[in-house]
Amino acid sequence: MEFVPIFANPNETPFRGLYAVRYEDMPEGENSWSQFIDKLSDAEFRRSFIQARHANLLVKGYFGTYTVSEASNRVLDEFLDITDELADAYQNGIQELILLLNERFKPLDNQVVSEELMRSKAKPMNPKEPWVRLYAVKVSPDLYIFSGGTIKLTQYIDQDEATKHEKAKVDRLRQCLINEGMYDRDAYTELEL
Amino acid sequence: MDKSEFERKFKAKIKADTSAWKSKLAADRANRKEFRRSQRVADRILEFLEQNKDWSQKRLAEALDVTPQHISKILKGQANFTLNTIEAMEQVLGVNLLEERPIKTEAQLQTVPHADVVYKEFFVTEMNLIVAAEEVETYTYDGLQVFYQSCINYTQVKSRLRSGETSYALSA
Repeated sequence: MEFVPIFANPNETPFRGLYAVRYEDMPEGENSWSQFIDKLSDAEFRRSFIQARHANLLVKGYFGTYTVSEASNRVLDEFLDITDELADAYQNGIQELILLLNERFKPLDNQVVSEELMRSKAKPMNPKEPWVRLYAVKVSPDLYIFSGGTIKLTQYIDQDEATKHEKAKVDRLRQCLINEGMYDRDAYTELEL
Repeated sequence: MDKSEFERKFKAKIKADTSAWKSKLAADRANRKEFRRSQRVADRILEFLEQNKDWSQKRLAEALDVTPQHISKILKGQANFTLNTIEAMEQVLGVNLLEERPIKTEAQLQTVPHADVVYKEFFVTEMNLIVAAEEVETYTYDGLQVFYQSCINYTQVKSRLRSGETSYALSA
């Protein structure tokens, strides 16, 4: 496990900002953040992702009715908005970035979904919530490690394979931190933006 | 955990960023209009491929006289286009690649009797039409009532019209 500075200065201590995790099993030159960027800026990935969920989640009226193209475009808009926002904040100084991260990242909902709910059909989440989600852990007051990001259309993280996978990535990161003796229960928080 | 110990361990695990995300995002942002256009074109071509099952990426590469690798780049929305390139692709595919509306071509409209009327209604009511088969019981517009109730979804209607099954839409 390694940490790659994304919006952070690795020469400045205490370490602050946003780092991406990189594992040995990732292809050379990739990390959790670069994989997220590649995925969400890929029109083919977005369309395929949405196609697979379109009939169940996007035409029944919870979000309004979206065509696949409209939904893909919404994801692209949100993706560009959040990456622009993070880049601009960092450009204005690490303190502004930290304020943004502190404000926007919320504790990950680790609510255990009941068996009955898991068996029931996945319901879309609140239509006002963003679809593009970023996952990270906070390991000290101003230091975030990005584990991954995806498109979230369901109410609960366990109700879609993509978000379940992101949760597993957060779990893997926590376990690696524990194994490396870098886990501080008081400082550690799993987050979703 | 002791703070200095954490800092020491963290520092030991820092690795320089060798990925290309920063330059990629910066380039896309500096040319946001072109980036969005590339994404739009990609989405239109992907939609075209979904609607026209006789078209594969291989056939597309041959028709556009580009490599399969370039097609892959185009479909990811990462290719840079001039308007001339887009126009050339539109001529090959018979599809307007920058429009927001669902895919159709003038040629298809001309070969489908009254299809202009069908499509006009189709576009206006596209959102409703997707759920029409389930939720709309009555809709009176000449023969279109039968048309709506007979079709499962928008994709099927389009592919049938495109493949020349005019009688399905108009007289089923």
